[in-house]
Amino acid sequence: MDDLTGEFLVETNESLDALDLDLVTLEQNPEDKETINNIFRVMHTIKGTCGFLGLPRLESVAHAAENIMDKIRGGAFSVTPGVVSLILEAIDRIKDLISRLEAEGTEPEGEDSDLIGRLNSCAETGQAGEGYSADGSKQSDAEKEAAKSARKPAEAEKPAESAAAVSKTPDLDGEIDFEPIPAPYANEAATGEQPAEQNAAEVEKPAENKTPDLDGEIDFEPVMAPYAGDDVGGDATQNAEQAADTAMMTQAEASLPEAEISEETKVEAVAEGLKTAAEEGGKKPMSGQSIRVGLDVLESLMQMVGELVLTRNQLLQMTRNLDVDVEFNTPLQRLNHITTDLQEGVMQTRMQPIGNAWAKFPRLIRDLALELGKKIELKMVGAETEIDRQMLEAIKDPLTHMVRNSADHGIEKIADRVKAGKGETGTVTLSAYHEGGHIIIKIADDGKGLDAEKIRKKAVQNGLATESEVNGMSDKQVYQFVFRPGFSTAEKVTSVSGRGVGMDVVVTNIEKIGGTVELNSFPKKGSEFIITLPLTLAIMPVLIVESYEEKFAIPQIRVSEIVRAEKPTANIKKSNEGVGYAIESINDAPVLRLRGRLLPLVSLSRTLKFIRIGDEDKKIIAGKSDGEIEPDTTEINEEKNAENINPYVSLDSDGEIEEPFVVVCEVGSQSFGIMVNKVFHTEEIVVKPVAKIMKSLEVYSGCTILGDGSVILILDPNGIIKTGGVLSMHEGEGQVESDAASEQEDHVSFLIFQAWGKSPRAVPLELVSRLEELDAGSIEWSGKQKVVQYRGGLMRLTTLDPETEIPDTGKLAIIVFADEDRVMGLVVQEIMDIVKQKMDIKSVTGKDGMLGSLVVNNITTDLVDVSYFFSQTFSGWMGGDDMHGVIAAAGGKEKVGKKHVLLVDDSPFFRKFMKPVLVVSDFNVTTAENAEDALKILDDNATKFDIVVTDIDMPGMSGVDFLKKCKKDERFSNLPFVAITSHNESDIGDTRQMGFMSFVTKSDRDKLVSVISNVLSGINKGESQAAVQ
Amino acid sequence: MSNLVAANSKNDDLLTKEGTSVKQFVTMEVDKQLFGIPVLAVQDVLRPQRITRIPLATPEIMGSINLRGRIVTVISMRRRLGLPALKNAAEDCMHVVVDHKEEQYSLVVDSVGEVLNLPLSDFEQTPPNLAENWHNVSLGVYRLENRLMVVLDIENLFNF
Repeated sequence: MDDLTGEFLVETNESLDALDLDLVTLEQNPEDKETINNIFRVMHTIKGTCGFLGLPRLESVAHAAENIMDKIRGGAFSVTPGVVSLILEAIDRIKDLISRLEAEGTEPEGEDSDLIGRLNSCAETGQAGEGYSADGSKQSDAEKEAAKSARKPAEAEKPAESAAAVSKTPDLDGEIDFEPIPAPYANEAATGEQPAEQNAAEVEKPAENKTPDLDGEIDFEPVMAPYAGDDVGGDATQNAEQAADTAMMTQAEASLPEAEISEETKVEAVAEGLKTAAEEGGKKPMSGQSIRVGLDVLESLMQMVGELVLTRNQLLQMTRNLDVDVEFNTPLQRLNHITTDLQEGVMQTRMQPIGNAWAKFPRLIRDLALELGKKIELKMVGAETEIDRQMLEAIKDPLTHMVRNSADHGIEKIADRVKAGKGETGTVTLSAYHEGGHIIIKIADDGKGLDAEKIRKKAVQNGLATESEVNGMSDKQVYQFVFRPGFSTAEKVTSVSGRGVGMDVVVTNIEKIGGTVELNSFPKKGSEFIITLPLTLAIMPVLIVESYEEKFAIPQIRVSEIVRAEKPTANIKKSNEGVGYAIESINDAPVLRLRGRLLPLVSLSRTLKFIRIGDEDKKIIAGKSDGEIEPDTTEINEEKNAENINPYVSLDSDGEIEEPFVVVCEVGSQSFGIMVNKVFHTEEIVVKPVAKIMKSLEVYSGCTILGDGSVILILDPNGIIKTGGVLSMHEGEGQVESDAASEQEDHVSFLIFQAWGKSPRAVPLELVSRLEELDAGSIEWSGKQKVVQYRGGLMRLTTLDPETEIPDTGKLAIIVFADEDRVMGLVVQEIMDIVKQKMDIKSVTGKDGMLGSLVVNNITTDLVDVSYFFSQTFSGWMGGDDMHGVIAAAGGKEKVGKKHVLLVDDSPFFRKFMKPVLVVSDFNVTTAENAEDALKILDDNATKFDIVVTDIDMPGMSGVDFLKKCKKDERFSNLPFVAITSHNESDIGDTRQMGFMSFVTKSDRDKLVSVISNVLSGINKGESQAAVQ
Repeated sequence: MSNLVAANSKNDDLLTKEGTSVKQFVTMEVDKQLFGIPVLAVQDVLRPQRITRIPLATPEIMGSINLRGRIVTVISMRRRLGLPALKNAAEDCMHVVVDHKEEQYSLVVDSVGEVLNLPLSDFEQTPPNLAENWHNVSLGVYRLENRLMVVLDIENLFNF
């Protein structure tokens, strides 16, 4: 293939790409003269050049398309979506021919008379003709037949026309007759739509049902809402460039001897080209000259500038150390400035507006909308944002994939959108902007958002996580599953997406160029992908850190913050008062409490397997392996400090942490901290790739030379996590939250507070409704009771000790307990902490209102009996005035060993307060909300329970039925049942008859305990008391 | 070397006055064993350099150095050949820089000797009883007056 053809191919490809955009623009603004001219001009140029180069197929197709454009230009008919689709088809055909030409060196065999026929027919009639109904979507065969039969005989003239076209001058304004379409054709187009086109057709109904005007024009109904016209402007530079190129091209034509085009046309073509170039040039400011430069030239330029930057850094470093005012300081300064400018200039050459990657999207969205039967609008904001060329290439495919995703999965069908109360047209918004040394690209849609439940199910289905794991994750964490290979919750695979091969590749590609991807989703409102990219690949800012005298670099973009940690202590309370952040551990894994969350830590020296030598002089040697260590030294675990909780956190001789600086990085949605000895500054460095030999080392993403000439390695946070160090974090694992730590049955959460007593008090957190801070002045009196207005009701206030004076000014800390409509506020001095630990009651005080003492944080803490205070405040609560401390009752009974009680009651409050009472009396307690659950529990643990205590009145299965069911089951027929109820015995009948061993009223708490003990000991003694039924 | 005439400018073959073909080698010692690398394959010979260690890399890789602005990976020949490493390897050694697949590598050896012109007639195949890891990196052996010189195979040197 000769140079000329090669150049032609390059230019034509560019022009065709721009044409896609133009045609979509045209569809939106059918009157836009500039766009029409543009399209015409391109077609014209292609036609001309093809004719000249001897490419008849291309020439014919281009000519036919040019015809249509010319007609439109002359106002012969207006642009309809059908026309646009037809022209797009022509463009696709041209593209296809060109690519085959490129591959094979010559035009492929074959002909396009069918397409050309339709194009010409359109030019004549203004109708898109067969293949497209009025809305631009493809027609069914039946329609095509109908359309065919209705076609004008004028077709016969076409072949002759196209042959002669070459030598015709392009100026055909007003010369071709316009013929009216027969009405039947138009109607047939409206009927016989295939189901697949239903949606699009429905939209168009109003237009189609109109009888077409006699002149055959079909009214134009926009399929999509007009989108931002930014791109037309943004195209200005491209247009100008194209114009200039066209001018060059046609000039080239003129200069070659074998011109097949007649002089006339040639001159006209040149004139045309120059004229439009001049037009464009006059209008737009960027009519400047452009020049083509090979990419390899730019690459080597870039490299050399990189070297220059490094050398300049070195020189600067040397002069810094010199202090003395040497003669060459001045020229060096100049060199410095020039280098900086040169660097910026060369980087500019690599920068392209991101709109170039977005160029194809308008058409893509248009086609997708038609195919999927949805209405989608594309908004592009910030298309002029510049991005490094290499990166542009790398993100083109990921962006395409994400846009398709949004259109396919995000935006709902029209009917669904209306149902959800949204507008019919969904919007996909692309935006790009610079921020803090990065480029942020967002792809947002206002569709239905991600379905977290569906994702959870799918994740479990695909074996990516267990059910309990996914249930423990927040929605945001669940969304990250979308990025896993093979993951797709699409019900069926459409031709657009759903095959599940997309998102993980997208993420990999983006991370390869040093970027990150984030996903946000708002159910029913939409989703948003956020891509963060470094400004350029080659030169990037890094943070210099040191680990035992070895310096490393961490890319700035991956660093969220730097924190200084304090030495780990056993007493958490103390460290909370400190200034720094304390390192704690969970099962030897070091974590840091950072603003209320736990941050997993990794020691850099351990990840890189630095060897620790000796005990006394604790030398740490980086990077050496066993064989290099002198034989007389041994590796000793130097952590002999008894105070040190965590063997993975090294302490030096002063007991201070050796690696106190924590560099917080994010990997995916996870944060973690890298512990290092020292942190230096950030520097802009030139990234050099690691040697191929070391490609397998994931911890390094490159290396560089610092200003002082030393080589340092650039770390990759992803790699550091993978290589492990101490932790092995797998994706999807939520942030280690202290509450979510391994659920242990006998660990209960307690709220610790001070209430004008000597020792702190505790209540089970479960019982606490809210913590409030109210103004003392808002306390009012209701009879003898102090109350405050609270959430529309009255809250009664009380103190642990009736003698305590509640201050009447200032803020009061109040712990709110609520049972249905009864709300009690316990006024306390200060709320101290929440602690999770065993309900291990040490001593029984026997004091009213206290259940006993616990040891919390090494301090004796009184456990408050909430129900006592509740009863006091609302006398008559649960119908009982019984003030006996439960403990008294329990204390007098025989210990029967730790029995397991199944407590079934539908009142959550009762369950919550009864449980500690029972536990205090040395029972193991399991609670159930209703009989069904209870049955399930029994089913799973047939031999575990010693007694069942159940409410009679429950929703669903009643306590009686529950009992009956169990009696029928031979596993449980001997299981003793005790009934509890809020009514009196006479109301329910003889419980003994029913099979209950005994019954208790709810208010009789202590009686309950004694009854249970009795029943159990009765059984123990072997006396048969049960009435077995 | 006035009695030598370049027979072929593209390779290291030289013609002696007598017309016999000789090859030029840079010689170096590792643990008292003599090795040779064709002279044109050697980019640089350096004194001890400041080596930046690369944690987690295989033991053969000593680290990286900055060579006139380029980062060059340093390979310890002792380790590569399975020989015990020296205590102060980094300080007391020599670097021989070679090219391999468009990257530069620096081979750390105990010492570097002269450039020798060795006649082809003194070249022998690698003895088959050589240990496997030596066999893989040896192209053959030259018989010198008092010693044997193993010719290093640069291509295979970096397969480890």
